[in-house]
Amino acid sequence: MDSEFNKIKDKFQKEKQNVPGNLDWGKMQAGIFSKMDRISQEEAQKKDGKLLRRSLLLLLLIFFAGIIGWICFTQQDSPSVDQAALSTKTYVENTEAKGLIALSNPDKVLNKVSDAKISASAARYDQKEVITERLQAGVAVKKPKKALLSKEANTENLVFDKEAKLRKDQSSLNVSTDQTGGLTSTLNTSDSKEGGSRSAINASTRGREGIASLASKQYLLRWERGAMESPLFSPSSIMERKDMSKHQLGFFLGQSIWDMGYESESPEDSSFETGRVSFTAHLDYQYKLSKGFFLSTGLIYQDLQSRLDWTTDLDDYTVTLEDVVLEVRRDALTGEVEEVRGDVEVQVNAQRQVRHHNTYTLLQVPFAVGMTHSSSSLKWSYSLGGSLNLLSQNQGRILFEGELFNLEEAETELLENQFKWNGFIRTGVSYSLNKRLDLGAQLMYQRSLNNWSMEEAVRIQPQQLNISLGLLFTLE
Amino acid sequence: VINTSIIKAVERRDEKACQALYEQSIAYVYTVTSRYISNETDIPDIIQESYARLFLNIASFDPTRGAFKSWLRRIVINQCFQHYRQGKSPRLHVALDNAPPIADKELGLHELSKEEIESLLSKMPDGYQEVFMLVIIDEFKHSEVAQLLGISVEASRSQLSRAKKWIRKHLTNTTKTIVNGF
Repeated sequence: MDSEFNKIKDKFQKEKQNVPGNLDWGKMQAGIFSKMDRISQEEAQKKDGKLLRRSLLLLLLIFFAGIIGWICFTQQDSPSVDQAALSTKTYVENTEAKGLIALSNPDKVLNKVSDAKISASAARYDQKEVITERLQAGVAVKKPKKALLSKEANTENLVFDKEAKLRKDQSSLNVSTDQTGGLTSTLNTSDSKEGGSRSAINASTRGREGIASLASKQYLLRWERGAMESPLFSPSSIMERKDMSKHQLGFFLGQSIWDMGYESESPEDSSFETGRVSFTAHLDYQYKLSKGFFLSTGLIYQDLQSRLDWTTDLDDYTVTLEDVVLEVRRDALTGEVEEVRGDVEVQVNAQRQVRHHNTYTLLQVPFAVGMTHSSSSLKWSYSLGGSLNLLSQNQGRILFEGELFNLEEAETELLENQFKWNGFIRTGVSYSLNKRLDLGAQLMYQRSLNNWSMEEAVRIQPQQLNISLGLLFTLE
Repeated sequence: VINTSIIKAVERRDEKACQALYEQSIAYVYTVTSRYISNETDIPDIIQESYARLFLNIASFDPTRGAFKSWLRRIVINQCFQHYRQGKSPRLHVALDNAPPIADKELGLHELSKEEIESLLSKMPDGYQEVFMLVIIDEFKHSEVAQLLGISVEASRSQLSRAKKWIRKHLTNTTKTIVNGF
């Protein structure tokens, strides 16, 4: 029989049909060349588009690399300055007269500190002590003395209490004194004797009232209202120390519940694809800003799985079963058995069933801004941002207008999900295991901002809910 | 057989060479196109598109990998399927209303005329016809069919096997059954 098929092939291959007159070169030439121009233009546009996308991506990467580089550079350039400045500011602010100078021109203070070339270890030591003092100061604010009659008096007493506690650590005081120059001379002289310290500071406060009072009052008012809410004032020392680090790296693994976000104007383009629970992994880098805010970026790996379940009726057809036993007759007298045979026509109702899995693998780069809130050993975070599908790989088949297309082939014709933007909101909670390590969980809702479908009548805007668990490492 | 010097000249976009190549191959291109496209008015557009791609990509033709004719046939057939995808033409021959009835004689497949075979193929269930045409008539590999139709290689093989069974079943029946059965 196969030779029969070969003969059919020969019959078709040898066949030469007469070419109609409208296919003469003269009539076709213009059309062919204009199509060549169009195809060349399309290919050039595709190339340009790719080049543009790559350039934008490169610029974006350079931009973010620049930001990260700048952050790292500023950190490396003066690792102790920031911390020393913090301690200086803290100290200065709490002793009003010095605080005035520091607050009115913080850059100068930073520069001074930088010039002083305080060693990292000394500065860190200083910083720890100041934090401790601040915590004590926080307690003092919580329980104001009833005897205080005015804000000013309150200020003096707080400063007084603060100074008395700070005195306990000579090195801390001395470093601060050096950094802020002549302003703290009063304080130095008061170190030898507690009573002297009180009077000296009081005298300083009174003597400089004209300069100090306004800003001092403003600062203390602000301090009283808001300082207790600052993460720096949380009661856990682990949390305090973590908050001093600006960098955090998180690695999360989890599950993603998603759907295609499929919409179509024509009924034959209905979606037969349903999302399945899929795997997701996040690498998250956080850079902490002030007041609990942070910036974050990283990588998100999504392995989105879906199931295509499509059934369509094919044309019914008839099958003839030949020489089938229709009846068996037994002669009652002779016992002879006779089979009655014949052909039977069977109507076949055919269906085409297509069931398989599709996989959309995405590598996304997220950018987000968020804020954290701490309570005891738990830290809550909320962030809002966008992500770019940097790489994508699709496997499986997609149904379009009753036809199945290979997903890999369908790209650029029916579906394209590379370089598409998504928006997301994310919330997370982390539990502090030790001063470097947190255990975290996060919930993220993400929706594509762009249409994956290249067909105008169809919209595919997937949305995902990611639930993941992971570890967060606080970096130096 | 297309002269390699013509191919080289087309590569340089020599208009006369393009014309020579066109005139040497148009009969074959038209035959292949009309095998896949039943709507005559769509044929010139597909042929123009096929030649445009041929002229643009002729540099990628590698004579060591196959004959020019096979390469050309693939371009044309790809273009026909591209046309289906764009919904500009119905897929292959839909039931031929005015196809000649199969002759009332003892049937051997090779004894059927081309029109009779086309008529038989047009009655095949969906999917069988395309795979049969591509593999048996146009010598596509199953991997190529799979790529073109967006199906797996296994599906292509099984469709061909079913198509062959379907033909055998209908040809080994009596002529009467076939003629009345359709």
